[in-house]
Amino acid sequence: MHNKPVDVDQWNALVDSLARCRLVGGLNVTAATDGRTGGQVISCDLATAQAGRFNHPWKIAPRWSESLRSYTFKVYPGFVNGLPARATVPDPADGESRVKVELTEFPEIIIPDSRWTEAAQYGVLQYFKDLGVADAPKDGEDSAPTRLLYRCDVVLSIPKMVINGELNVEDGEVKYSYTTGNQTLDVRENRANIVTYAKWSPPEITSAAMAAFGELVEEPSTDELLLGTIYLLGPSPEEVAVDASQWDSFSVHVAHSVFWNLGYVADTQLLSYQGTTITPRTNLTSALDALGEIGRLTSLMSTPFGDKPPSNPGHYWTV
Amino acid sequence: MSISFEELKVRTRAEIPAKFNMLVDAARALSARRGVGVRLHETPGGTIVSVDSGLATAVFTHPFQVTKTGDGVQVRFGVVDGIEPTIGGKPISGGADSEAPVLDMDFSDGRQYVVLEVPLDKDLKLIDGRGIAVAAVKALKSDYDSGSEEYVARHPICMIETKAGVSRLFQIEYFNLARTSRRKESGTVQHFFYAQ
Repeated sequence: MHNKPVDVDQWNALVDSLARCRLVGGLNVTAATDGRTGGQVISCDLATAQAGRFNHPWKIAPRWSESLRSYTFKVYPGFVNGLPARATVPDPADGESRVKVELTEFPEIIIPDSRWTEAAQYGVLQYFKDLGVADAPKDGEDSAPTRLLYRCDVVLSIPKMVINGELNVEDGEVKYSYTTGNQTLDVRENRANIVTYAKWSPPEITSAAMAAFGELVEEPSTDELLLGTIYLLGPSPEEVAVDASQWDSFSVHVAHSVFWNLGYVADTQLLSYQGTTITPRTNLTSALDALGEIGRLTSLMSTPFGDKPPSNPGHYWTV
Repeated sequence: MSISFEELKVRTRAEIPAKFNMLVDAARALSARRGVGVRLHETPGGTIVSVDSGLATAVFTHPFQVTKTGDGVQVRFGVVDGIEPTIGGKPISGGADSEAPVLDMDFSDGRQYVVLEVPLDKDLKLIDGRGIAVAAVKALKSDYDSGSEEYVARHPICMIETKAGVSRLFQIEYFNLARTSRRKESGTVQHFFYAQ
């Protein structure tokens, strides 16, 4: 076709193709021509279309930010024990330091490129298979052309008091020592946070059997819950050659795991720390306290190392 | 795919063939795609975009839904352990023949909660005849008075945040509820509310 005159049929086909792309206003939608650029402006009557529109707690709304050259997302405010969760975002004052902002302020959370991982290695949902994404090739198989699919997990994370034991032998005497996690005891600071992972997995915990044999895994410092997964789906291979540097050409999909506000209670097995009762500073109602904080903060670790109870992860439930 | 129409422009007719495929790709990229609640219908004269009217007008209602009304709020019917709470002694739904009562609120700047209050005796059972009330709480303080033998289990159903005179409601509760309470060895009482 190069360097040959364009014939009438080709141009007419092209004109028809472009005509089909012209958007025409329909129900609740109007289309107008932008006088400056000549482009089409499609408007929806928001007063009508969004009346009564329901956003559930923890609803994840991702978008591509051209200015940041990165994907970002907002989370419709969700509450844990009656308090809104927080997210860590750049401080608007200087743009560099990080501040925690409650979800009721609708902060825009940036997803670092390092949080995206190829989804095929973890198994592809049928929904995406139907859209042309293939499972990762098995050993020895050639990889067939497929649409790219990346994933990023959005997780609710609550820091908790962690007490880890250490066994030392000094002068032939066995001594036990304990260290606490670095969480503050002020429950207002230990609020639920939104964090992202390339692929989140439930933490490994010390089972009762493992504890009996002194096989302890490191106590997780947070109680976490998967809120949802953001997927980036690339164009089909026939459409255009795409690599991960062309993020803005991907389409965004979200698979939610949690839809309602939550109650949370932490490990209640541990009742004081080395014989000293910890009094949490809080101005919450005891209803709220009881649901999550007192049990977490009044922890006891006065038992010998070998008797350390098994891990007791906190519990979330729908309220 | 971002389209640069500037790159597609030509100065002479001789440039057209070289850019033909680029123009075809650009046209293909302009194809509209259907989003949530939107319907597309391609015609020779263009693509019609419609927003589904069912989606546009559907209203989600649920137990304990809080709505602002004048200087207070109203709370839609809901139950805790099968019991309908009250506002000022009247059922929150207003009952069969009267309007739903209004809970007076102070909408000055700051945060308030609309909470359910369940009065319990020393055995952590609902006190006979007291019922469950809906109350406004400006600053959440302890509901646990160790000096008496009475407890109040509170559960937030809505948070109202007012800034510069503008109030926003954040609904917390969407379901009818069940409650249980327990006393720990330390003497602390825990109250659990959960969706039913």
